[in-house]
Amino acid sequence: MNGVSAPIYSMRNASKRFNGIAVVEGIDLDVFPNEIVGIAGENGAGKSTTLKMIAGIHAPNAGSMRLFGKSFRPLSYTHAVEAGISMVFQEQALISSLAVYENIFLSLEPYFTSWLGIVDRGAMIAVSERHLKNLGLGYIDPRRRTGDYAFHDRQMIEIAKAFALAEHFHIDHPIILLDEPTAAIGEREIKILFESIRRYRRRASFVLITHRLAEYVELCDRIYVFKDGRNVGEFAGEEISEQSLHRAMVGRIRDDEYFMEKRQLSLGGAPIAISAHGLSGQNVKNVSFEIRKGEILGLGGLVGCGKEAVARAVVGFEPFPLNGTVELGGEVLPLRGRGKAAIKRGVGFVPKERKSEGIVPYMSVQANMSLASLPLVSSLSGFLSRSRERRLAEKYINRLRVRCKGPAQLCQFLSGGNQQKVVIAKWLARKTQVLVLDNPTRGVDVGAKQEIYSVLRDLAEEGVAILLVTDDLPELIGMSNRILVMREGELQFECSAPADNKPTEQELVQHMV
Amino acid sequence: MLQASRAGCNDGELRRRAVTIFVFMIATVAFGFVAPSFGTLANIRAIELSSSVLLIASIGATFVILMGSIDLSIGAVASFCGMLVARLSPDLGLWSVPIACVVGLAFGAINGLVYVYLRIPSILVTLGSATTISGAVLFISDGRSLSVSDPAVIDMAQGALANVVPNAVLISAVIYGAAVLVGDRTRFGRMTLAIGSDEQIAALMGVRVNAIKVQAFALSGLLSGFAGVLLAARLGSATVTMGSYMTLDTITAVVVGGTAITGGSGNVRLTIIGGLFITTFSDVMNILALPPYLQAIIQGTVILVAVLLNTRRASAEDVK
Ligand SMILES: Nc1ncnc2c1ncn2[C@@H]1O[C@H](COP(=O)(O)OP(=O)(O)OP(=O)(O)O)[C@@H](O)[C@H]1O
Ligand SMILES: [Mg+2]
Repeated sequence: MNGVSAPIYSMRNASKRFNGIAVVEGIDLDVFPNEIVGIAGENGAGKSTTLKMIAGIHAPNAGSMRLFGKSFRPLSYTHAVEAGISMVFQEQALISSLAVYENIFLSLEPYFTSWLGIVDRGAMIAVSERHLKNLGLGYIDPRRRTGDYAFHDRQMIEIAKAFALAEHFHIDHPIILLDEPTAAIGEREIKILFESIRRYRRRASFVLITHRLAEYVELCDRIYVFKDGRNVGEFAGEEISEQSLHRAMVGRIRDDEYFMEKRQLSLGGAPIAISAHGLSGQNVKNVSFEIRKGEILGLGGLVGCGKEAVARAVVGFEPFPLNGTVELGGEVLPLRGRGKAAIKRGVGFVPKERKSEGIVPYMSVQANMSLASLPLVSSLSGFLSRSRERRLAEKYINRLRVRCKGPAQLCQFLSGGNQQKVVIAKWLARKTQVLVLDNPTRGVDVGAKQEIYSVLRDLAEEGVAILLVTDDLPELIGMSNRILVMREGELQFECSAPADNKPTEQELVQHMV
Repeated sequence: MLQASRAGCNDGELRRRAVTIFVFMIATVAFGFVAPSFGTLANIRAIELSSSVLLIASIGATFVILMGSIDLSIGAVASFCGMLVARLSPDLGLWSVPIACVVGLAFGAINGLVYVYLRIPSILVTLGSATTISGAVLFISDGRSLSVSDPAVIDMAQGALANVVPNAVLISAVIYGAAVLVGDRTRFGRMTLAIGSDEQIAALMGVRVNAIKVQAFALSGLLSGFAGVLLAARLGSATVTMGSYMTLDTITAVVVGGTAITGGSGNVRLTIIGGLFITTFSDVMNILALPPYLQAIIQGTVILVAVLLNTRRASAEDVK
């Protein structure tokens, strides 16, 4: 296919510098008609930056671009959209106080305005509805407030928006840029999304970034591999495999010991660290379980099955559990103020929404990392000690391989995956008895994922009880000692997952749907 | 339209901004020498005193603004506490000062409690309390100006250590130093910034967000109350509206100092430059005896320019 036609988009020798530091250097990139192109690379390799150059958000410092046979120099994102390029952002860009349809057509209202100056809301709503339906999102009401929908639904709304924009400008063959579209959605949504991508590719091209290598293999015709802002490899067709990609990205072969299952402990009579009895609330019905010291308990299920709510109920944050008790080291935590009580007793929580719950963008990496453990970095006088704080930050920057200019850099300027590592470091820095993680490796590259897994194994060996809530099935299976599956708010299935006898994905999925 | 972001800064930026503001200061001073009386000791003393007063009130305002809230009652609290000292000092002497400060703290705490527990936006709470407190000033003063004549109270503002460093400057320097320490190196300082960025982050850290908010407002009340006391002692009298200029001047000082009005970004450190800048500039205009309307026009314009130079608007995609 590529041999016959000319590329509809091409980028030549493009570079981008921030404050004099080259983030992307000498990139060549082509997109052919009907093609799905992947960009793979570690956190901070420059993938998002490259997409933003295509989308007119960052102007390249050097290099040239061509679109549909003409020289292309977008001055802004709007400009790029009008020319046939739209983008789904890694960190969400929807305004939560607006209705869904208002977000979809944000800034395009003039096109729906009659000569009387009246906006035709009906038309906007109808078009939005159609696109949502096409993506299997019939249950999303375009008239409702965007903020009323869960994170994964908002992600799908963004995707619907990209499709709607392309159609709106009558672009015959739009290019849709997807920056980690699957990071925050579950298996079911991913399936629907991939089906729509395959359906739409007859009249569109896609550029895709993901940190799940299997998704590249499944979807992409061609993949560029980036390392340190440079193009270090290009794979097409048969050459694409998880092994080849992993190797090109990380520089070493992926070992079979990805989840370090050999290090999984067998927990005969280890004492119970935390137990939950009869948790119920919105989306959660009578969930009970216990976690032993050193155990990793996996909690899986489709998006919306209530597993996130269970995680939040255990740590005591909104939406508050209406009922049920949590017992920590033999002590029942109060229902009111459970969050504070839990944290005081050494419960850590890595939330899913890193942008609003995880990092403070205008704080340095070091200040973010110490946020949960201020007493640990304080000197005798009671004031924070900068040097202790910096040492702590340096330790975790090395351990998790956070790519940043140093502990003093603002988190705002870190790539998405590196921000996630900072959130995890925040809780590692503090002595925890129980760690609750909601999709901890979302947006984290394969190499760093392994670092995080290794850290989780270390913690388990130190006796920390871990509740791992995840949408990633291989991760759920590979990491857990025991697995719980939820469906529609109830515990559906439980199985143990010893290192030598792991359940298969099929076995689990059948209990999810 | 992309990621919500605010005008923020790291250390390098802070330095760049400090330079910008210093350029302004130097320009102002040069301008001032056009008027011969600018460089006189008496005038410099006057600038020192009035910027001390403004700085103290602005420090409290900084923490509130960092949290993404705002305190519009600063001027009223200052007027009230200044008046209270005028009322009480004939009987209580220097003791009237801590009493007035505690009253300021209480006003601030009430602002904070109403804001937090009745869930009313801080701008409305403090707008309301500013009016109420202004009424209370009239009540305790019968609408008249009162003079402050207690020597100890006067000395607090007008005296000088070893006849060189004015007491007011000393006091404000100590408060400023403490505030920088609190802002950079305590949980309170870190959490105000985190709350301004997103409350959830602080809540997930086990922090009682409401407690921090009330504390910040109480601090603002305390410091604006003390600023009012210092102002009355400096002028030797208390008038019913003497502090009202502070409400907007503190906000200006904070913003010129590089703290984002939307919260979540900034620092108490450069608030001092903002305070100095505003006071020096209005002093120069007074000396040049510019007519009041011209002063207002120039001052407004200059503040806009200072804010322009001082915030990274290009990268602040989200300007409110
Ligand atoms: N506005 C900016 N200012 C300064 N540095 C930036 C800016 N945007 C990105 N960077 C830096 O550029 C590098 C590449 O960032 P980019 O977001 O492109 O990475 P990425 O490949 O998408 O990584 P991830 O997989 O974590 O999303 C990072 O080191 C990041 O810190
Ligand atoms: Mg990225």
